[in-house]
Amino acid sequence: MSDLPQQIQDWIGKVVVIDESEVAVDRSQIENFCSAVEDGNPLYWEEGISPPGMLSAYNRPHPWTPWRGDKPVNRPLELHFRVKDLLDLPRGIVAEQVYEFGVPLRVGDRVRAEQSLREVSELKTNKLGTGRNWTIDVTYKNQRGEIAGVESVSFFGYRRDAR
Amino acid sequence: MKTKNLQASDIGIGDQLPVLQVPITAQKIISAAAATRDWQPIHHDHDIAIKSGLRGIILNAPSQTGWISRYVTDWAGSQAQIKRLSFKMKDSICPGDALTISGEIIGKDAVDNGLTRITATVTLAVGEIIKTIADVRFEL
Repeated sequence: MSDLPQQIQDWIGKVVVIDESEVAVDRSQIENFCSAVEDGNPLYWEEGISPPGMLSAYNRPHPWTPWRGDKPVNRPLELHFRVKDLLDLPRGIVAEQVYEFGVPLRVGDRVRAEQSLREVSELKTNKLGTGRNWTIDVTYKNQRGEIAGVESVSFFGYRRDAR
Repeated sequence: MKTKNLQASDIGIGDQLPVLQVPITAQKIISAAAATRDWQPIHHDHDIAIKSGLRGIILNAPSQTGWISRYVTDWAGSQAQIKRLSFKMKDSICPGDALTISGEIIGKDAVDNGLTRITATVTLAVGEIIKTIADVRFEL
């Protein structure tokens, strides 16, 4: 029998957090990114395709808007923070990130991000402390419901004062 | 800028990609963080980064994805479709770091759609220290 809190067990395998992007895929934003990483790929500069590195960019909230001030509805990777809080593990590191890419995002697309909890490990102790590994999957879809990509982030959440 | 496009037949397991040197500056870190709308202060505020135990502001994960995918498609050509990218960040990348990006082809398979799936391992290093190691799968 799992020793995980019931709320965490209920979340596993389900979409828990959904974010609709506050911005559309935008040519200026693409050019800013490609300029920053010195990427001359003509698909991005001339065809209006968003580069793979920008998959998660559109669902990060503005720092401030007139209708909600500086309090976003969700933080980026909101589900990770909810898991971390429920497990009472104050520290966390990213162990691995995996991106699987589908249809490219294009200028004008709106992006929906669906966050789900794939798995949570048993308690373990390593040199950082005692904690658990968990993986959050974020599925990004365009306005037609087509999958643009899945970002999977594996964390180790822990506390130093091992119990 | 036009890039040349390699054919799958031009690529073999064990091929080395040309090394790319990237001097990391605060401008590179901050401009990429802003373009990916990542406002965490460790990507733009030196004092907060230092208080967090870092050497300085750090290159964020989407920017590393950007450098890695750009490295691969600069070599293979713009028609190379990046399908999967996995990476482990072992250490931070900060202003002043002389970043070296290198890569090697480690896999080549036919895909049902008539394309060829190529896998490269890409390493981001500063001197002898490996900062990030990635596997990139693309189709040609």
